[in-house]
Amino acid sequence: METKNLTCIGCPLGCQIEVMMDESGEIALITGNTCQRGEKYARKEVTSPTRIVTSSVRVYGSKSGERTVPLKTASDIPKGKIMEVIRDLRGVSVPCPVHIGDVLMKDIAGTGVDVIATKNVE
Amino acid sequence: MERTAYNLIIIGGGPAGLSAAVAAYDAGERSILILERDTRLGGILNQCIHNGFGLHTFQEELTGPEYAQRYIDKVIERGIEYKLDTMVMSLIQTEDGLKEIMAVSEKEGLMLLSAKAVVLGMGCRERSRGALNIPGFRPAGVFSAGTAQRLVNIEGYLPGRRVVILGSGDIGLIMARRMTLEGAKVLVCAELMPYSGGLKRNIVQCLDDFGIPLKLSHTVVRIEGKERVEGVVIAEVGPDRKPIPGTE
Repeated sequence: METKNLTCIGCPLGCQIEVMMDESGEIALITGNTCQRGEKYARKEVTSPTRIVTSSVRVYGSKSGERTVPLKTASDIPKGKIMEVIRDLRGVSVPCPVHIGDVLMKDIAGTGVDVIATKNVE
Repeated sequence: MERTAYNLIIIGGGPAGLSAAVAAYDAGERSILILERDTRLGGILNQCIHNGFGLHTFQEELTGPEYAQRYIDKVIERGIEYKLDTMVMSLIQTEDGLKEIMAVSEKEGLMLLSAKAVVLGMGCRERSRGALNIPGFRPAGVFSAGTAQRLVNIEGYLPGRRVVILGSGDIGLIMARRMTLEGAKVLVCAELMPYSGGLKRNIVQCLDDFGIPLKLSHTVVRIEGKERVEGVVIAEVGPDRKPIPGTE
């Protein structure tokens, strides 16, 4: 029986979660979480950990004189792909106006997930 | 000078000011003015581009600018008046029992306003290097976490390629990740106290995810470099939080 100790990143509480794995590597028991979100996080974190990636890229033609627009992956992506996502964003520049939810790049780094804007830039 | 009268004036158009304006409007107040010194509403949330906001209020995970926009929309929907690029110069109590505000903007010049009530929503300020008493010259390349955050996320500059972070508050941790993603090498995050001042989830997803070491009970004792920062000396501190000689 193997035990993995995790800190939940679902909310500011940061619950300490213990995941017990049986001999075949299957999850046997999850304890320490105080909500459903925590159980879901623990399950993912020991099998295939994921993160939402946030960053920013340049904009051009902004009427309000802004230089960047912040962005995020529309959903979580495999943790191992974080730097690939960032690499694919390098040198990207998008025309204004941009609005929250606008797709800036489709299927980033082959994750099947789009990158969307998180701020309105006129 | 003619005074323009409002019942409620809110100084600061960040999360506190915006939610105060919405709450006052929803409680029946219609004579409201928000004064904001920046070029847009939203305050510090505009530079907090990471996710993790809004779980309680909106039951979904938003980034700072998205969270701010929810409140900006509420203010605009209600037709609440606001002035941008406007700096408050003074706030005094006058003999008629009102509060008098003098403010200035490039567009409108000097303006005199009166209010029955004033809400102060101007946020907080970071402690500067001077307040921490770190000896040495004052070379370029030393920033507060919030300033670095503004430079990277709003202005689009990377303030350095080899980075040491002093303090492990949430913005320090978040900037460790942010600067790593932007191509900088974050060598270490040093924390004076024997525990981190940041959230556990930020230790996990900002330091551990990127293999950035956290040195507890450590502080910066010297900053090297005259024109530009060239290095820092870190030492371990004892239970009295004073550097232990020989641990540099």
